[in-house]
Amino acid sequence: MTTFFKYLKSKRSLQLMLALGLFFFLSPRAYADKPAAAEKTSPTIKLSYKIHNGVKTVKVAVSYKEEKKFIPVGNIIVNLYLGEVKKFDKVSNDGWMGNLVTDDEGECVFMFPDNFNTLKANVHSFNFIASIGSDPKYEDTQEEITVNDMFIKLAFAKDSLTTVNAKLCKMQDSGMVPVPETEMKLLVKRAFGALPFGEDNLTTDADGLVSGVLPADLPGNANKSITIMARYEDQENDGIVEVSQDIPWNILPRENKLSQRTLWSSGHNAPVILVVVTVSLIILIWGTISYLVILLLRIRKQR
Amino acid sequence: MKEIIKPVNEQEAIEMLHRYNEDLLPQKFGMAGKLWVTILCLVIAIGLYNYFWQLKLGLTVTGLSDTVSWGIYISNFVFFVAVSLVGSLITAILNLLNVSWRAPITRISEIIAVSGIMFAGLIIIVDMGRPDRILNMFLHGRIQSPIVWDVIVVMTYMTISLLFLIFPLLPGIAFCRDRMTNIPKWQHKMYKILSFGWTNKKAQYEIVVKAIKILSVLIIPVALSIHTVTSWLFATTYRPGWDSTNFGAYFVAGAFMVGAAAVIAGMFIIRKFYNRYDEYITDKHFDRMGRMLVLLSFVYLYFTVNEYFIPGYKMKGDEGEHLKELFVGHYAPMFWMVQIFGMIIPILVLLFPKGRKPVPIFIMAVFVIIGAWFKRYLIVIPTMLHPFLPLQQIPEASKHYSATFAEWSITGASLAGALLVITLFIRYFPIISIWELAEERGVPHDTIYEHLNEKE
Repeated sequence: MTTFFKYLKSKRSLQLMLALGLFFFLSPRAYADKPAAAEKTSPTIKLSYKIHNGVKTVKVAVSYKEEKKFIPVGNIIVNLYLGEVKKFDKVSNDGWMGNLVTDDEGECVFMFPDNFNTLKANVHSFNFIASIGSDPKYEDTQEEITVNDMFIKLAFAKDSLTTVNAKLCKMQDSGMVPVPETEMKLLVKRAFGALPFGEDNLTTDADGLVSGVLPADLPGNANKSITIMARYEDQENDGIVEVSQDIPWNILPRENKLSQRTLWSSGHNAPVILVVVTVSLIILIWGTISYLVILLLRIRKQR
Repeated sequence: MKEIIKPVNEQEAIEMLHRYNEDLLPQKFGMAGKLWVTILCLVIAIGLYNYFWQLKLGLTVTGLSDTVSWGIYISNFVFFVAVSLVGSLITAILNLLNVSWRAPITRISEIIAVSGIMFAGLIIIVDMGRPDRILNMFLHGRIQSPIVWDVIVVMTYMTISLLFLIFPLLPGIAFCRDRMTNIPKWQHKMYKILSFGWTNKKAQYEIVVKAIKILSVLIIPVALSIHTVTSWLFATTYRPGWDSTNFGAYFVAGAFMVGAAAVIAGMFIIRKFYNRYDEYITDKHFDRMGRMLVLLSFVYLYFTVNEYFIPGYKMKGDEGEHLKELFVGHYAPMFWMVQIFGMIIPILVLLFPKGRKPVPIFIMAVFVIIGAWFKRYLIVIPTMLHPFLPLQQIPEASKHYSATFAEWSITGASLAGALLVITLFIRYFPIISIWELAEERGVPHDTIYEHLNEKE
C-alpha cells in the first residue's frame, strides 16, 4: 500500500488522470437532460392562435418526448407560412411570413403585421404552417392551424353598466354574420386571472348574443375601473377569440390587510413589538461583539 | 489514570511550562495524516464539481421537488448547527462552572463549533436554487420570518464562536510564531498576522481573560437561540411531526448530545495520532466526558419520549399517518436504528466505568454522531412527504424523495470540508491551550506571563 502511494506521489500526470477520470465518471452530466448528438430527435410542434381585440397572434410550442415527458426545445428556428410552404408571393400575399426563435420554454409568438387585415380583406379563414427544417439536432417537422376571422363585440345595457352583452361574429364574403349556439365566457379581470360572471355555460342565441350581470359588490381598482372580457374558445382549431374593455366602476378595492402590522404582512409592516424586541437584541449582542473586537485590537496596542 | 501533579515551587512550575512547550507545538502529519487530507480534498473536489453542475443546471440535479423542497441539504444543515452547539457547552458552561479538567479539551470543542457553524451557513447557500440572490434576503427579508431570524442568529453565533476561538488562541499563535523556526515563510507570516502583536504582557492576558468572561456569558443564550430558532423553522410550519411545542428544547438537548460526542471523537483521534498527548488528554477526561454524554443522552431520551409518546398515544389524523411511517412503515428501520444505536446502546455502555474508557467511548461517540445525522434526516424528509393537504394531481416522482448522487456528493463535501478545517487547524495551531492548561494545573499567572514562550 505504502509503495503504491509513493509511486502515485511520484507520478503527477497519473494523479491528474485519475482525478479527471473520477470527475468524468461521477459527472451529473450522466443524468442531465440532453439529446444524443449523433442521431436527430423528432420534435413536436403545437400551434394555437389568439385574436385579442382584433389582433391576431399564433403561438408555437416546440418539444420532444423523452421518458413520457415533454422536454421544451429552446433556441430553434421556426418558419411560418400562410397557405402553403413557399417563398412569399407578392401577388396572392401567401407563402413565407417570417421566422422566430423559441425561448427557453420552447415557445414563440408570431404577431401579424398591422396591414395583414387589409392585404387579406377578402379571405376569412387562414391556414398557417409552422415548419422546422435543416436543424442539426432535430428532424424536419411541420404543423398546420386554421384561423377563422372572428371577433366579439361588447355592449352594455342602456340603464346599467352591470349588464354586459357580448356578440360573437364571424366574417364571411357576405359580411359580418352572428355565430349562434356557441359557448362563450364573460369574465372580469382580477389580480391573478379572470373571474367568470353570469350564468354557467353561457351559449349564444340566434343573434350571437350572450349577456351576464356583474356582481354589484365587485371591488374595482384604485383608478375606479374594471376590465371586462368576453372569450370564445375555438376548441376545434385550438384558438381563443377574446375582447376586453375597461369600464368605470365606483366600488374601490377593499382595504389591503397586508398594509396592517401583522405577522403575515410585508417586512415594512411587521408588528412593532417584534421589531423592537429583535432590533434591541441585535443592538445588545452586536454591541457587545463590537466591544470584544475593540478589546482584540487593544491587545496590539499593549505590546 | 495519570494523576495531575501540581508544581510545588516556581522552578517546578517553569519546568512544567517548558515541558508543555515542547510537547504541545503543532506536529507535522505522517503518512496517515497526509492520506486523510488527500481523501478529504478528493471528496471536496467531487462535491465542488457537482455543485458547479447544480449551479449550471439548477436544483434539477437534486431529488428535490415541490413536495420535498427540503432534503438532505437541510437535514445536514440542522446536523451542523447541532454539532456547533458544543463550543458553548464545553468552553462556556464548564468555564463558568470552573470545572478543573476542561483546559485540554476546550480548544477541540471551539474548533468543532467554528467549523460546524461555518458549514451550516454554507450548506444553506447550497440549498438555494439561486444563491446569487442571497443579498435580496437582507434587502427585502421579512423580520417576521423564522428564516431571517435563523440567518441573523447563524451569523451572530459564527462571529462569537470565532472570537471565542481567537482570544485564548493568541498566546498559542505567538508561541508558534516565536518557537517554530524551521517553517515556510507564509506560515510564519500567518502566525505574525494572527497573533495580533502578542508579546506575553500581563495587560494582554488581562484583556484575554476579560474577553473570555464576557464571551462565556454571551455565547450561552446565543447558542441556545441558534438551535431553538432552527427548530422554529420547522415548528412554525404547520406539518405533521413539526407541529410541536417541544421542538426547541428537543433540538437543544439533541445538539448538546451530538456535540459532546463530537468532542469525544476529536479527543480520541488527536490523542491517538499526536505523540505524548495521552499525558494531557487522559482517561479521566474520557470518563468525565462519558458521564456528561450519558447525562445528555438521558435528557434527550426524555424529550424523545415526550416527542413521540403523546402523539403516538393519540395517533390522530395525519400526525398518526406520519408516526405510523416512522414506527412500522417505510422509515421504521432507520427510525429504530437511530433510537437504538444513536441513544439506547450508548447510554447502556456509558453507564459503566469500563464503557467510558477511550476505545468504547469513541465507538459510542461515533454511533451517536451517525445516529444524530440520520435523526435529522428523519425530522426533515418523512414530514415533507406527509403534508396536511393530500398529494393530488402531482407527478409520481414528487410523491417520493431519493437524494441524487449530486446531493450526496455535495453533502459529503460539506462534511469533509468541516473535517478538513478541523484537521488543518490541528496541523497549524496548538490544539491544547498551553497557558490555560498551566493555569488549570496551578502554575501562577506571573510565571506564565514570564516563561510561557521560553525554550528550556
